[in-house]
Amino acid sequence: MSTATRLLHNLWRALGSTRLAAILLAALLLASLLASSFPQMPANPAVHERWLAAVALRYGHATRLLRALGLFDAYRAPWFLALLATLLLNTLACTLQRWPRLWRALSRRPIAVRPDAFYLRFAHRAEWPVPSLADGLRAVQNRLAGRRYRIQAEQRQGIAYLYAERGRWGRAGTLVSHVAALLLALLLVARPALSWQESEVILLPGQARTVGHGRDSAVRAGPLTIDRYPGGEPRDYRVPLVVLVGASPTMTRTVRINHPLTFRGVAFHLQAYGPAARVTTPERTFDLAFVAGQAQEVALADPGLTLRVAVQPEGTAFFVEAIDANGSLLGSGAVADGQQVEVQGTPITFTLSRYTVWQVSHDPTFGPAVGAAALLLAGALISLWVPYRRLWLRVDAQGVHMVGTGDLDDAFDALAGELAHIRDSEEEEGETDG
Amino acid sequence: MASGPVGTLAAGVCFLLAALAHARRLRVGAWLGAAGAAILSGALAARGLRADYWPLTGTYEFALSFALGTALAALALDPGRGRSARTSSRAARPGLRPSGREIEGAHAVQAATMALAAALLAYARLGLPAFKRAIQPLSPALDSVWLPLHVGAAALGYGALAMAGAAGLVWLARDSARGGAERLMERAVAAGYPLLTLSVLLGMVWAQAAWGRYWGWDLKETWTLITWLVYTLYWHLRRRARWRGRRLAWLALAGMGAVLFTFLGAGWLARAVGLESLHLF
Repeated sequence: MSTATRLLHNLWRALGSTRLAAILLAALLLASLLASSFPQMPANPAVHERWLAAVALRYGHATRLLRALGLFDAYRAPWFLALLATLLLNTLACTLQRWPRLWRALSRRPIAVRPDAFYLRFAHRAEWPVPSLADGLRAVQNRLAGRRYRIQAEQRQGIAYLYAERGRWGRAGTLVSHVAALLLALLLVARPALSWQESEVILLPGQARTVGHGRDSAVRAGPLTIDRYPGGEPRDYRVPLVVLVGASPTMTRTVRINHPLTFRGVAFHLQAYGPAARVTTPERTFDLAFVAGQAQEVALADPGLTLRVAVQPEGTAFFVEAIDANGSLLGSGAVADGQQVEVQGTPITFTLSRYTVWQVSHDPTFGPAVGAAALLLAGALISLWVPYRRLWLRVDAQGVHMVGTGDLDDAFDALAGELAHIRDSEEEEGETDG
Repeated sequence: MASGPVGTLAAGVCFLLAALAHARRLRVGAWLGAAGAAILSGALAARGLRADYWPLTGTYEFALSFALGTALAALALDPGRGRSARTSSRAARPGLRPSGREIEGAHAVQAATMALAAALLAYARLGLPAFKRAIQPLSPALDSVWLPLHVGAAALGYGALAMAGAAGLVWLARDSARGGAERLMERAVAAGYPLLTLSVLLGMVWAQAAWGRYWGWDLKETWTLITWLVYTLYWHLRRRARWRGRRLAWLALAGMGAVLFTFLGAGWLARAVGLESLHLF
């Protein structure tokens, strides 16, 4: 093997090593800890400037440095993504390196007959006497089979050789969880490219809005209904939502919190609501949403004035200002829900309603991500709760010599103790039966 | 039926007595722990019936559930559980009989775990203001079939992982108890880690239904990931000779710290740094 090949081989081994995995896991842990200590920028780019201005009040001169380090957008920062990518490579290398060994272990017929020197290699060793080869062999085989060990036995020159194992598939647990972790990480990386999300989509009652993103559908929300407990606290929020394809309603469902409407892979989640108004003049109707409590303006061509409408904090009435074309205040006052007022001879009716806030999302990675997480869980369960144990036994007329490897620890001594006392217990049981 | 302050007080006294009994290596500790868990289950069931929802919402109810999860972990992972039911001849075999040091270690871990369950109940009753203990109407956001599944798995997982931390503490504090403590630490992580993973998986499904995204780097989500990474690290290092013993015990203790911070510290961090979290209410 040339120096370059050896170097590459060593690099490949190091890339898939548990040691590197531990270092990367610790680094990811510390990176997440650091990131969780700073506020993270919202996904919506439209609010970034306002958000940064608010953050600057808290961090002052350090804001620019912290932003340059990516700490306000840590989970998308190059250093965080590089860490994730390295962990991904490590998991991939580990999986590829383990697979051939695992396949050999699972598919090869184990060798039961081993030379005497073989038994000296193991830390787990035990010996005990037996009255005869036949008795000792039968007792050991019965007890191991009772303990769900798969046994392979061969006899040569008056010596019986046994190979016993259990939990063979337990070794596959780590591989399963690594493949699942790879899949999860890949989905996380691919998610921004495959999915989209629109937050804070505002719908007024009766208003239709196209879904966009190359879809030919639109949605129209009905009025919000709030069910309340006797004490007045909200119990449930309900909004009828209609999906329109072209102009025809295709699907109608009452959407509630935790119960979105999903149509052709696009999910509509009810997020919040706020006060809205319907302003009706003889010519037309205006629907206003008072987002964040901000006043809204209505321009009336006839009689050529502007109405500035605000909703009162308790949401039961309006405060209306009438402004002429020169910007002069013509008059102002509180208007009750459903009240009609006359402004320069024009009757105008103000009606309270509510707008609803929606999150519209399309995320084809969700199903595979749940599947990968379930696979990760299954792999962890197999790896943690199915111990892989291998035993080699050499039985002759004098006694049994047993060695073992795998997830044994104290279980080896327990098993050896149990096997060595089989005869005692069988005699005890015989006496009891008699 | 035990309910309200009486139920939690009685359960707390049982856990405390169980801790004392285990500290004296008395098997009655297991019975006292079981009695405490039964009383606390009754108290939670009574609260659930009064509230008309699963009592797994808010800090107070989760503290009670966490305490119950901790006690149940101690009972389920008790190495002596069921031994008396086996045949006497089998129990008498040298290989199956636990050593004196192992028994001492197991009792010490049980004592520390039961003390932790009692401390959680004490925090719930004495550390939280009355309005946080009062039954509140269920908010629409929590009215979901995923509530008992996601939060229940978290409470059980946290309980087992708290026990692993208690075992780590015993390992570090008492030389003579190390054998039993190490074995229990490994079993507790083996139980808690899949439960924590299950809780994250169920939380993903719920988050997708509620918010349209299954992972959003929310503060609580990130801290759950940090906790999960601690135990993933534990599992990768547990077979490495250099890490066995002291270092793993410290790691289990750090894991318990992460669990407690995810439960109690995330809210404080959110307020201190001015973070938003959909999990804080």
